[in-house]
Amino acid sequence: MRLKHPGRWLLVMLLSIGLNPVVAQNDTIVAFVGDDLSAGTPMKDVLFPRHATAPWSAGLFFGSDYNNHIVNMAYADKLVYTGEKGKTAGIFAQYWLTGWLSGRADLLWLQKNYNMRRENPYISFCHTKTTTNYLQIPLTAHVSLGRAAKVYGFGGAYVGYWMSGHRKGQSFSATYLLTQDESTTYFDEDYEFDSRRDNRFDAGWTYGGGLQVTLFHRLNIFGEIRWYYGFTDVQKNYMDNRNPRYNTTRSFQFGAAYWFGNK
Amino acid sequence: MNIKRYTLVAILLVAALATSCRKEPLDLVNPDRQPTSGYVQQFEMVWQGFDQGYMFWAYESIDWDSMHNALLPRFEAFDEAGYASDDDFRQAYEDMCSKLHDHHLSVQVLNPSTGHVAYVQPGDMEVVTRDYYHPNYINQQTALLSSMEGVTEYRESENNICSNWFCLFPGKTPGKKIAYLRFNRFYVTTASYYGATNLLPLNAFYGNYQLNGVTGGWAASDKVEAIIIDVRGNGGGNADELIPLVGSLTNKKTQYGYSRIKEGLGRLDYSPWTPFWLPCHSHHLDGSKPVVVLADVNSASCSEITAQIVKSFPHGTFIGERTFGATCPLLPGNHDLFYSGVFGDQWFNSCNYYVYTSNFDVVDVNYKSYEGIGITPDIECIFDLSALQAGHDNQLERALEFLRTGK
Repeated sequence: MRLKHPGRWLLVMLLSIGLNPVVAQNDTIVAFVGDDLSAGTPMKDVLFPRHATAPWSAGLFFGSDYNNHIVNMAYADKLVYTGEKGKTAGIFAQYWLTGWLSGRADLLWLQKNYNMRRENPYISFCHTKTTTNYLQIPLTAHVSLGRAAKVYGFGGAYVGYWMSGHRKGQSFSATYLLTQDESTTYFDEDYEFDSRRDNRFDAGWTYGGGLQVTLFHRLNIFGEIRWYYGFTDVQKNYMDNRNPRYNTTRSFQFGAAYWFGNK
Repeated sequence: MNIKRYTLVAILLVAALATSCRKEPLDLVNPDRQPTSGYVQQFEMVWQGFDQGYMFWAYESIDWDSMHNALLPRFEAFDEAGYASDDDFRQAYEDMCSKLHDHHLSVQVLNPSTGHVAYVQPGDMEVVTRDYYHPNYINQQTALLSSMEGVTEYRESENNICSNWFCLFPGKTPGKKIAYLRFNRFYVTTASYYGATNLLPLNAFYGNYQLNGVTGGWAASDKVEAIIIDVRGNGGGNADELIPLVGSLTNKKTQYGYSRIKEGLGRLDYSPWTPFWLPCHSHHLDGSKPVVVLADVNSASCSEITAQIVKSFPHGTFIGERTFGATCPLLPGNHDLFYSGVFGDQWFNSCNYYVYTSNFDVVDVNYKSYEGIGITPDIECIFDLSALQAGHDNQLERALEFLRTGK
């Protein structure tokens, strides 16, 4: 069989052979270093194996993220929201329909943090760092390329729940009004939810990609980048003239997966 | 290969759809000093000013969106007719604002067709419904002072800025005195510009007329065993005068409670709470003298903060009536500092509306708000008009009785 786009396959193959070198001529494997593929395996079966080595895998991951709190402040241009770093960790289970197509469900903790600062010189000391903790369940479809080393992309949707939050910073206090003493402006407190305003349900799209490498017989490690694109406003529909607030979060995460079943 | 291709297309499609799931932001207009034409535009700006910047939505039960929808046809009808009578015009704004809690709130709107100003002050409308409400009788009350039993060292200064009165009453202990000070506004700073004679009573009490705390005067005298600060009928003024006038009467800072500001254009976008302290002035009393604050239904703003602060003194007592209910401070003319509070043009040059409203939310140490309610006295003593007409200030006499008898 002739591949229609040999350049594209070559690129994928080069990525794939980084840790699992293969020697290929045209579309046929002639040698594979360190695994049990035999000479003569078609190239498409290396890149897109017809059968998974096992249908299930499960694992865990951790990493860091960066969240952008998207809100249009209209004329309030001296009240500025900026993104902030956070952390993430989770576990997942993945079911392999074929060697290249799989579905994955995660249960994860993700921080969607952001900063607010005031740019009016008179009150430029005012700022708030808001830390929010979400529990999320993304369901994603994965397409993998490669065998012992897989490059993969994925897309899907997630639902989440805003579990808790924390706010730290400085605000213009009534005491400051009297004293101009900045020491009276600090706060450091857990976020108190307002059931009228705060929408703790979260949902959105998620997509990303990564690289997975087989370390040992059943153990894989991976690194991936993932975007969470929330389409639920973090505020409830409590007023008509409400500018929505959304979170867009990008996470970099590393983890390990274990294959179940017979290899 | 087809399945893989379809999968890839599906993922790209999902990613593309993702961007269409968010609502477009609204093009909100700054309500501060926005020129308008006609009744509807004016109404929209005033309504939006409240919608985005009013401080007390957390406590209000009004459906503000329904209010808009209910009132809009009236203003549309005004525009259609090209005219609204001053009564109808005022009534429309009264219907909009009269249930709001903010007792600092006043709404002034220029009738586009008649050029007359409609003035709505919900706090004034609410307070007259209280069964103990009475007008301000400050002139009649202070006229009695100099002739009250045992009064010495009487001083008075009546002026347009900050009238003030001082005298000494006989105390509980023979030979000891009770120092009494009354002032009708927290405008000592302004009054001092017009000469020290405006502030002779304050000088007699504090030992200076420069807002420098207690630097001498009768308040610091060993001959004075207790103090009465009378803010009945005092409508407030400069909040920074609280420190030298009230913060000098004790020996440590006093926590009123907590305050917060708006932190966005949403009705419930608030900053976290920060402690609201009244610092102790560097020139202060040692805290051992009992302090009574007299306040009534006409005591507003800084006077109410004074009442609450004195209540918190170890030897402080508030005697009188539940106060007006304008307990939260504000910074006029600084709408874009917090994107809340006062908006519009007081002189109607740049726009034809002006709304005076708070931009701090203040609560006590138990997070209880007194805005629109007022501070409740430790010892209630309702104003008695018939006693006043008979030559007695029953509330002041009750304060003296308390300090002399302890009950």
